[in-house]
Amino acid sequence: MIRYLPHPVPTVSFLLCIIISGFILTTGVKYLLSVLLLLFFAFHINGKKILLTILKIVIPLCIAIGLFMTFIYPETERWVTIGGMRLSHEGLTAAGDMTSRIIFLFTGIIAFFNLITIQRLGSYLYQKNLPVWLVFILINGLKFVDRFRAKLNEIHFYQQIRGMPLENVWQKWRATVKILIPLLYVMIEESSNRAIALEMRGFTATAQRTALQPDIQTTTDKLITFVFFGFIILLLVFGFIV
Amino acid sequence: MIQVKKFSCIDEFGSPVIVDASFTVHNTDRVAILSRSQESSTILCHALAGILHRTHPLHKIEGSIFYNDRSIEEIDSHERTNSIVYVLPNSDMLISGVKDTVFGEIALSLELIGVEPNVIRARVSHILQQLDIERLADRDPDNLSGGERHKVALASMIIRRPDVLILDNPSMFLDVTGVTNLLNILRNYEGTIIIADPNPYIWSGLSNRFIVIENEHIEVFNSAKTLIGALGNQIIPLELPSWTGLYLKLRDTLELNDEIDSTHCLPALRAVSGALP
Repeated sequence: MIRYLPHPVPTVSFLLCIIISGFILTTGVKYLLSVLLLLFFAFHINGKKILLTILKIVIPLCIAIGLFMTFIYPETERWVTIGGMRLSHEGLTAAGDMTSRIIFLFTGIIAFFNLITIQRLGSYLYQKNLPVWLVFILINGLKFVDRFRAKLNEIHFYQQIRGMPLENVWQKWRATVKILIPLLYVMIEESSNRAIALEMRGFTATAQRTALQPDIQTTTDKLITFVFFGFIILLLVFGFIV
Repeated sequence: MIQVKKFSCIDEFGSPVIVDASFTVHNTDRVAILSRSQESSTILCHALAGILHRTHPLHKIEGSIFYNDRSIEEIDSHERTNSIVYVLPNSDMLISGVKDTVFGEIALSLELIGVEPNVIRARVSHILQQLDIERLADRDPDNLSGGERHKVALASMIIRRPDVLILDNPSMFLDVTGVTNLLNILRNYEGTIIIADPNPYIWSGLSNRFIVIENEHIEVFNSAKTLIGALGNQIIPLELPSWTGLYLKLRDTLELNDEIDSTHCLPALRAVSGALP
């Protein structure tokens, strides 16, 4: 496991690197190699968690896209028959490209959130003298999914206590759909209450802020940022020209 | 000084919550708000903090509230939150989400107003000690229990030392030690304190003035003695256990020997026995 916890700047540059390379890198074997490299890297950060997320969300999504495209790709000129099934050749290629990109981007984003805590990112942005309301919106936006999931689990827990059957995925799905809109409404209302609460904490203060622990970049952080940005430049140059 | 003049609040369904309230809160006052309904005391707290129009936008508000002779509506949010701090009961809301340690979270309140780091360190350490939560200093504020989070939220608000501190239901989530520690901090607090709590007997030793909201009307008692008279004579009904508790606590504090009509409040007395701190 990687022990080094990077500064927000190299971590953000890592994310930028992932997003740009996800769209620019050539497809095919080279691309597949880069996906494997990223998966290997992600596995070393928080392997089990990342791998589970990929298996549970990304792979089923990719299979769905793959199946959809190989059967009904609109720009098909060549059809191939595999195991008695008539599949689109262009659809297969496009599905391969798209799914590998999805795996790449998802893995990168999951790895990003495993490399940095939202608090650390928030703390850094706050120290950079960004308006506090902007930091609040960014951080709460990032935390929204987590809070939503926690609230949903809490409701499911109480529903189960009251005797509602929530044993399988279908039952959970049905229960979720019914409470989705009221829950979203509650979450939005909660956000406005949170804004008032944080105003009470002094988030609207206009004084020159101080920092108890200034977030300073180490030489390693600077070096990693340099490497990532170098890689982005290489991607831009070779990705488009070569 | 906060002056409330002919303040009324009617909810979105047309039911009055507070009617025609006029009173003054002086700079050194320690005010306890006693109410049968938690909603009316919370609304009064929001009104005094100048946030009622935002928290209850559909409520009809009449009358005016002045802070140091200026209408509270005219004071901008930055200026207001520097002088009047409202500590809401839901401590989850008060955790900023931008700090990964409890120490940092409490320090943030002072960083925002530009306090020097060495002063921040000293003040944060002191309040952690006062609330007996030093062991939480390096913990992640997002991974605390409800009671611990509440203590951290209270510390984050009190550390700013505002001129007016409004505490809404502060005893919620607090254990006996937590309440005692908070009580000790508030005893030495230099500003105005306004507390609305369903368990008013906890704060009876601290308060020198009492605002009672009964059937949407507000009555202000300027001493414990006048309040105990009203409670003992059933001017304020004693059917709520917490109010009976307050009566008994005040009677003990003031060393009074007057009897209350036990037939009137026997169930409440029974419920409160043993619950008194």
